[in-house]
Amino acid sequence: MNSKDHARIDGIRRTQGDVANHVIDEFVAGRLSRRAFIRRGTVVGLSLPAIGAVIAACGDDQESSSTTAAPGTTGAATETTAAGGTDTTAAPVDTSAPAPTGGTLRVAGVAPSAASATLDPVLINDGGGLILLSQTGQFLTLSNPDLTLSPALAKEWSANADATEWTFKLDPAAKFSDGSPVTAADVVATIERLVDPANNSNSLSAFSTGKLSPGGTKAADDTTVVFTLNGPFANFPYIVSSDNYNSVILPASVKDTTNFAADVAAGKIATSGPWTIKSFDATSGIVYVPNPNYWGKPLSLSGLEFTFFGDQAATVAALQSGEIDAIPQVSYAGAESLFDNPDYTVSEIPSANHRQIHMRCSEGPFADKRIRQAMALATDRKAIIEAIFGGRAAAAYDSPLFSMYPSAGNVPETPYDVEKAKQLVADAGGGFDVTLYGINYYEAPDLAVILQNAAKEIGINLTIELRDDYYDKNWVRTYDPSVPGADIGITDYGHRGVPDVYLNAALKSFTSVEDGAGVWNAAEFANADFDAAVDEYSSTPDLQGQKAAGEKITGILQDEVPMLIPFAINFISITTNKVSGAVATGMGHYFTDSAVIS
Amino acid sequence: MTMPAELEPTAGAPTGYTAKAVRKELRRQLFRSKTFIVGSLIVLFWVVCSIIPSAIATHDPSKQDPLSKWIHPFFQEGHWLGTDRFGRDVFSRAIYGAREIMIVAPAAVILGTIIGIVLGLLMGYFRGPLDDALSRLIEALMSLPLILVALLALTALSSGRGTIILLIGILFGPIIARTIRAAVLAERNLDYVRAAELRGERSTYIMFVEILPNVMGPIVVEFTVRLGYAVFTMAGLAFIGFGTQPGSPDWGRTIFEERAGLLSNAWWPCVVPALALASLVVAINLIADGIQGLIDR
Amino acid sequence: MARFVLRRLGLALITLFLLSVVVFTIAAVLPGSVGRAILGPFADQQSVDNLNRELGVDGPLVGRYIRWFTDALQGDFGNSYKFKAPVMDFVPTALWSSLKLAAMTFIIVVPLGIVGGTIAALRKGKAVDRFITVAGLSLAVTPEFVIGIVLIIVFAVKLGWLPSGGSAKGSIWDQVQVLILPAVTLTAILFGYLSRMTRAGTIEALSADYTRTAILKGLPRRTVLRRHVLRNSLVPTIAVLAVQVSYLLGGLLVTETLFNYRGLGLLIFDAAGDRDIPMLMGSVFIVGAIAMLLNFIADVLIAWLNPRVRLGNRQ
Repeated sequence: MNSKDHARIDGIRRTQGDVANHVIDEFVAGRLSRRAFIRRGTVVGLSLPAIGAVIAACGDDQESSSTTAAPGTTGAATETTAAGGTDTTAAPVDTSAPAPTGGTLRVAGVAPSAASATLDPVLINDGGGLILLSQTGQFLTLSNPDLTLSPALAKEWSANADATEWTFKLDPAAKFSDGSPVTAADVVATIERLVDPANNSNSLSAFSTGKLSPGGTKAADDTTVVFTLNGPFANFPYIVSSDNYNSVILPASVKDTTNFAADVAAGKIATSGPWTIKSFDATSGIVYVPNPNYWGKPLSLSGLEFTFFGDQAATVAALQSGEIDAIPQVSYAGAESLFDNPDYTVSEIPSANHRQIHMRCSEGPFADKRIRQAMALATDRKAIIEAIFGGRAAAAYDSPLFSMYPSAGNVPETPYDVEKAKQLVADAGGGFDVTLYGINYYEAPDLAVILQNAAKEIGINLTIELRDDYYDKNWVRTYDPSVPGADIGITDYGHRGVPDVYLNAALKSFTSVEDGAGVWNAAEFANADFDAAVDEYSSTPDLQGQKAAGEKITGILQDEVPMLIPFAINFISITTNKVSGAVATGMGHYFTDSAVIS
Repeated sequence: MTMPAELEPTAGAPTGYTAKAVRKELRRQLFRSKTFIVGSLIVLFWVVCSIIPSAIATHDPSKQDPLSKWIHPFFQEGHWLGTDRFGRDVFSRAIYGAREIMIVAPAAVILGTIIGIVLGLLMGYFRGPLDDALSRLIEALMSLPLILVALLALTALSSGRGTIILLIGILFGPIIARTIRAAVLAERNLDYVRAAELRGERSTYIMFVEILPNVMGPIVVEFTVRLGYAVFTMAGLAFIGFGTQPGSPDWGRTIFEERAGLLSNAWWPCVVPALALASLVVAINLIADGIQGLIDR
Repeated sequence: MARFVLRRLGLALITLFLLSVVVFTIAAVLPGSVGRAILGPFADQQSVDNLNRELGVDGPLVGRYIRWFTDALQGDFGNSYKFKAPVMDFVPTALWSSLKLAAMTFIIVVPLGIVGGTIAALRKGKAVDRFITVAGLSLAVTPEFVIGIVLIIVFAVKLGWLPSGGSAKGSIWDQVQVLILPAVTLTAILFGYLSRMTRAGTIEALSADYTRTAILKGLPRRTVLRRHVLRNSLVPTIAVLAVQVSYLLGGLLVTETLFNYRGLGLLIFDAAGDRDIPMLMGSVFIVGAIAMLLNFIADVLIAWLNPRVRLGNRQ
C-alpha cells in the first residue's frame, strides 16, 4: 500500500462513523478477509463504492464491481461457498435492467398461518405470510442471500462510536403507490407500532434483541431517522432489514393494519414495493399487479400470482405439469426428481435454518454433561446431511454461530467418535430410556429416526414422540410450570441474518418474559460465563471482538452441549428454465422485481 | 351388509339338529369353500408375521445402512425387495409392519362390535322412543367429519395405540349398531321371542341369550368387513400425523412416509407395504365371503 | 307416504338440534388456547392472554351456545378468528367446491358401481365376480395419497392431458378437467364398497319370491332385471350413497390436499388446527345439515322404491 492509497482510505474514513472506520481498519490491517469485509462493511453502512475503493486501495487484485447493487434492487447475491465443503450455486443475478418482456410469474406459495391470514404486517409470523409482504412492501435495508446488506428505502446508514445510536438516511426518490414520498415520519410511525407491546407485534423479540424500545425512534428531518438504543448493538441494521420481515415501512397515515391485504387491494393502504394486490384469498392464493408509482427499476413482469399449496408432492407435480413456474422454497425429500433435471433451474444458498435438539441440563438423564457430550460425539453429521438433504446442508457443530456468519470465528468440528461416546456414557453410569419429543413436520421424523439409531449405539434408548402440540407441551416450561417440557426435543428454527436471537432467546439464562432473555431456553441451560460471552458478543462493535466472543461462546456450547445442532439447511428454490432473475433469500423472501420470463 | 334385506335368510335357522351337529356341519362346509381357505391362509401368514416376525424377516427392520440405500427390488445384494432411503430392508419392514395392524385393527373392531351389539340390541328390541332417540344421536354423530373426531381425539388424548383403538371403535360402533338393529328387528317378531316373553323372561335375557345367537351371522360378516375398513382408516389417519411414531415399520405410516418416492421412481418402499395391506384386507374379505356364502345358502 | 315423510322430517330436525349440541360441545372442549393457536408458539404469554380476552372465549358455556344457535338459525355463524371476516364468506364457496367434486365423483362412480355390482351378481362365483370384488377391495384399501399420486404422475406429469390440481373455476370444460383426477381417485375408493352393495342387493333380489314369480310368469329376462331386480337392488345402494355424502363433503382432507382443491374438508381441518372456533362450528354444522338432508331424501326414496320399509316403520 503506497501513500496515495493511504490518502484515499483516509478520505473514505473521514466520511464514515467510528464503527465503520473500525471495520475499515481491521480490513486494512489484514484481520478481515475480503468477503468478510464486504459483508461487515455493508452492515455498518459503508456504501459499496466506498468498500470497493478501500479494497482497491489495499491493492486487492480482484475487482469488486461485481457486487454493486442499485438501490431498491436485490442484485447483490454473490458467489458463496457453503461451510462443510459443499459446493453451492448462488441465486441467478441479472445485473442489467431487464427488458420489459411481460408475462405473469406463477409461484407456489403456502397459505399463511392463522396470525398471518389477513397479511397484517404487524402479526405475520410465518414463511407463507412473509413471502407476500415483500412483494408489496419495502424495508429500510435489504438482507441479501449472501448476508450483505443493500440499501432499500434507506440510502445510507451509520452509527455513533459505541453503536448505541444509528442514523438512517432515506432515499429521497422513494415513494408510495399513491405517489407520496416515503418520509422519516412514516418510518417512525411504522417502527413505533412494532415496538409497542400493546400491538402483539411478532417482531417484539427482534427489537428487544436489537435493544430498541418505544420512543427510541425519532425523525431528525424529513429523510433522516435516528434510532437510539438501550445499549450498544453492532448488528442493528439487520433489525430494520428484510430479515425482520414485519418492518415493512407503511405510510404514517395508516392506523389499522388488521385487514391489510383487503385494504391494499382496495387502495386504502399505500405501499412502496414493486407490486400491489389485485385480489387476495387467504385460502387459495393472491394476484398482484404492478405498482403504477413504483420508484425502483422498471419491472419486466406484467403480473405475479401465488397459488397456495398444502403438500410438497402437489407442488412438485404442479411445477412438472406446467401449472406453476417457480417454487421459492422446497425441501429436498420429495423433490428429488427436480434436481439434475435440465428443465429446471435449482438455486441453493446457505442459510441458518436449522434444528435444535435440546437436552435438559437442569434435571433428568441429560443433566450429566458427559451424556450430552456423548450424544454430540455419536452424531454423524455428514451422514445425516447426506441421508436427509442429499448433501444440501452444511454441517454444524452444536453452536448457532454457523460458519456462514462472518462473526462466528473458528468453529471446531466435533468428531464422530462412537467409542469415546460409549466411554462417556459408561463413566456417567450407563445408558437409559428416555422419550424424544419434537415437532411433527419438515424432516423431523427422519431426523428423529436417525437420532434414535445413533443413541442406541451408545446405550441410550429413545422412544420417539413427535407431537403437533409439541410447542404447547414439550418445549419451554421455564415460565409456565404446568408445561412438562421434555428431557430431549427437536425444535425448528428459521433463518436469521445474524445469530443474536438464537443466543439471546434460546440459550441465555432465563430472566423474565419482558426481558426476553432465555424465553425459548428449552434446555434450561444456565451458565454465567456463557451469558457474559453473549453480552460481550452483541455489544462489541468491532468484528475482531465479536469473533473472539463468538469463539468463547462456541467453546462453552461445545463443552456443555445444551443442544445438538447437527446442520444448517441450504435454502433451495426451483424455477422452470423460462424464469430468471427471481432471488430467494435464506429468510424466505422471494424478490421478483428483477424476474424475467423468456 | 348393512341392509336388513340380505340378512333375513338367517331368520329361518335350521331346526331339528342339535346345535353341535349344526356347528360341525358348518365347519365342514367352510373348509370346502375355496375363498375361505385362501383368505384364511393369507391371514394366517400375517398372523405368524406379527407374532414371530424374526422367523421370516431377513434383516433388522430398523437397521440403517447409509452405504446401501435405494437398492432396487428383487433379490439384489441380499435384499429381496430392495432398501429404502435409509438403507433399511423393505421386505423385513413389511413383515414387521404387520404387527401394528394385527393388534390395532382387531382390537378396534372388537370394541366397535361390542358397542354395536349393545346399541343394536337395545334399539331393535325395545324400538319406540329409545330407538328413535338413539337413532337420531347416531345419525348426528355419523354426520360429523371423521377428520374432526380424529383431531379431537388427537389433541385430547395422546397419539398412542389406545387412542386409535378407541377412536376407530367409537367411529364404527354406531355403523355396526345400525346393521344389528335391522337384524334384531327381523328377529323381534319371530315366535321364539314371543315365547320367551310369554315365559316372562327378563329383557336382558331375551336380548343376549335368545336373540344374540340368532344374529351372529350378520355380526360375523359385519366384523370382518369392518376389519378391512379399520385397516384403511388407520392408513388415512397417518396422513394427519395420527398413529405410530416415526421409525415404526407400520404399513400405514410407511406408505405415507414413502409416498414422495413415487414421484421420483423410487416406488418400492411405498408399493410393498401397500400390497401387503391390500392382501390382508382382500383376505379378510374372502373369509367374510366364505362365511356369508354359508349363511346365504 | 305423506305421513312417513312428515315423521321422518320431524326426526331430521331433532337430529339437527342434537348435531348442533355435539358440534358446540366439541368446539368448546377442544383443548389448547385459542390465542396461542392464532399468535403462534413464539408469541409471548401476555399477548396470548390479551387476545383470549378480546375474543371472549371464556364466557359461560350455555349462554354462548344459545347465542350461537339462535344466530346460526338465521344464517349468521359469526366472524372467523383467523380471517376476521364472516364465516359465511367462506363456507358457501368451499361447500360449492365440495359439492362439485362430490357430483363429479357420483357421475363416475354410481354407474360404474351399479353396473359392476350387477355383473358380479349375475356371474356370482365366476371369475368376473372374483375380479370385480378383489379389484374393488384392493383399490378401496389403497390410500388416496397413493392412488392420487399415481394418477397425477401418469395423466398430469407424463401425458400432460389433465391439470395436476387446482380449484374448479372458469368454463365448464376447465372445471371438468380439474375435477376428473380427484373424482377418479375417489371413485377408486368408493367403487369397491358400492359395487359390493349393489351385488348383495342384486343377489338378494334375484332369489326373492317376486323375481321367481316374474320369471315363472314368463316375463323376458331383461324386463325382470329392470323392473324387479334393479329396482330392489338400488335400495342398499342409495342408502350407501347417502352415508358417503358426509364423507365426500367434509372428509376429503387427503384428496383435497393432494390436488390442492379447496373444499370443506381442508376448511374444517384448518379451522380445527387454528382453533378458529366460529369457522369450525359453522362448517361442521352445515356439512352435518346437508348430510342429514340427503339421508332424509334417501330414506324417502327408499320408502318409495320399497313399500315394505315405510309400512315397517308405521307399525
